[in-house]
Amino acid sequence: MAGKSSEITDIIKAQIAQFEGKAESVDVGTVVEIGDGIARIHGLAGCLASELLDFGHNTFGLAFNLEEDTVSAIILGEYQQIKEGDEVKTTGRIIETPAGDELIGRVVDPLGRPLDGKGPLNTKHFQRVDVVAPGVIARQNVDTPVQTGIKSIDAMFPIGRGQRELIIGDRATGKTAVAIDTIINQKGQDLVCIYVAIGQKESSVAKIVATLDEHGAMEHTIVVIAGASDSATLQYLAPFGGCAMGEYFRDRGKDALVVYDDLTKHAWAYRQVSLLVRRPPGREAYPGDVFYLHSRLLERAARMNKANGGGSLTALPVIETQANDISAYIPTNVISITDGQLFMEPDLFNAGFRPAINPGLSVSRVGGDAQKKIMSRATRGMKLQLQQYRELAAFTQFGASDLDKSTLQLLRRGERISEVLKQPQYSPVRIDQQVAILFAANRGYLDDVPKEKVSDFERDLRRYIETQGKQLSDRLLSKPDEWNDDVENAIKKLLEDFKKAHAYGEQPKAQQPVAAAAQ
Amino acid sequence: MAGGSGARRYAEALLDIAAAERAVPAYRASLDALAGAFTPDVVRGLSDQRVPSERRRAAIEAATRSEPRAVRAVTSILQQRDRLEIVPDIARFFGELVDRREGIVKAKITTPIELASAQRDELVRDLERASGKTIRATFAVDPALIGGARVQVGDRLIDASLRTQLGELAREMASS
Repeated sequence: MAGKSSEITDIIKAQIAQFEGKAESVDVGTVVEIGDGIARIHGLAGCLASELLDFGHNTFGLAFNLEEDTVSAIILGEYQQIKEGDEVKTTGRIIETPAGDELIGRVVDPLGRPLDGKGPLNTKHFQRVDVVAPGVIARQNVDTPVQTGIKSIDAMFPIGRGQRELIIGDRATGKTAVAIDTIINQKGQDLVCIYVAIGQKESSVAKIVATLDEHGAMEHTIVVIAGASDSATLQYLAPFGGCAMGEYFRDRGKDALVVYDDLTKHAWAYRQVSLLVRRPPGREAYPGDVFYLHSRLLERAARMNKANGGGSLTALPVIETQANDISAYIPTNVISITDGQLFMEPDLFNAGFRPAINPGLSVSRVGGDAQKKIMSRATRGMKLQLQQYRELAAFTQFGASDLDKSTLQLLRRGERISEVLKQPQYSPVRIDQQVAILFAANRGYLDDVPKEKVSDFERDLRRYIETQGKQLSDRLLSKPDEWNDDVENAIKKLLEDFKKAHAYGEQPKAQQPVAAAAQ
Repeated sequence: MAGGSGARRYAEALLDIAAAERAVPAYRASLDALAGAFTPDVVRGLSDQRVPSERRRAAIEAATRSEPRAVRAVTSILQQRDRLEIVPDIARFFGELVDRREGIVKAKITTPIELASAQRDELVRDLERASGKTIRATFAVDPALIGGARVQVGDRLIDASLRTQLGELAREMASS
């Protein structure tokens, strides 16, 4: 211990010797009004927009409005100790958050302060929270998919790395579940995930973190929390902070995915601080720049070209609608910014179609370029069949006795496809298995399987692929962008062999007495 | 800072008139005197609705009889609009505007010990040379600074006190 303390003394001595006392020259002002997380400060003539302000007591604020003789600042964190007349100093800095591999597996607040009790972060790198998105020269088209492991998304609305795909729907329609499943499916792969919880109940966030942990997904995930009890300032900064953490990976040639859950509450937080600093309210009392708020955030999701490292940042913003109204202000804004949306419908959800993605209103505008060939070929024409089925199903639900053969066939096929697209939570499916089961449904291999047996069929088929279909599975996984007659025939053969081995087909009428006779 | 922008506009208008009449110091003295006289109690009395407005106007006119013409006009306008409480703000803005016009800035110099007047003069001279402006300094003593000095010129704070430097050293050592 004695040796240790003398070592410490030496270190302190060295630090004191190195220390250069400099006269500090800063702009100062005085607090004239404080409350609601907002401070009005007189003075600070040389303050810059978005500059970090030092209120003393280790409290900081963000210069928000610069007026003729006052500055309105939003305070980060607690503000109870700030009094009228307190001195405020400029810092010459812009708000930053720690970034780096050290953050993976951690739960932090928007400014990178750990919340999980696992000790300090020890990051070496800091990333500016609010930066301008990369320009056109640095970008390229999406060309690699984000495998969500969710059959309906990977088949019909593929998401590319660097894309912005909105998840929109009423409360309790499984929006977060889609995002969480996507994160879980990245286990053991090369995509770093960041889950940003904005204005959510701490209990729901705790549940999400526990779920991710349970499925081993925290090994590649950062969770950023600005909960319902945190200040509006932190909630406003949360997505920008999470985005900055993702940009660290994007700018180093890696791939990252960031989920903003949800941007409706983010818009509320921004509306609150904007009204408190007396910015003029516009439609629904949101400030005029609420569109720019989200567009500048989502624009930072990008696929960089080779010259710029080739990294990517994919964004999955979430928007909660009221009574299915996607034409409200914030939903339309974000729909117009993103490259497509997954529309989650309560009716489908309640009917047991989960994930409850409405295939008519959902779209992925750029993901098709990124979809793997095996997937696009296996599911070709599936969306159309499903659409036709849904139209017909609504039309025939009051009695389907006198329908012609082709209509019945369409109904039968559609029913099987919808059945296959149902998927329980936390059980992502690997791409080769997805291809096999979707191919089976799409090409009619399930037409003779009773509707209620489809999920058993799928379960057994997946098990069959693991054992008997190993060769095909390896072929699909190793060359996902090659599709030829050999592959197609191999899948067909596998399905036929499987159906022979398992009696799923509707049994021929003669079989019943035979079975009885055997007894 | 209620009525801040209104008071500023009155002050700007008065300064234009004062400059045109070449009577800026007289206006300033007059406004400062009125700012001292229009305390909240006095303002309340002058806007008391139970007293007939004729009498209140007469009282203000009597009180401001010796003031410059424009100042008299401003006080009677303010009385009509029931805004006499901004008179101290007008005086303050007027003072600031005059100072700015003449290149005068206020400085607050805090030291841990009382400075001798020669030292004060030297410090002010140095500051004037550095800022290129005329400095009107106020001095204060704060033993908590330990050593050095803290100088605030306008909104600019130059902190060369030992307390801040020690705090900085502590912070640096804690973070490394």
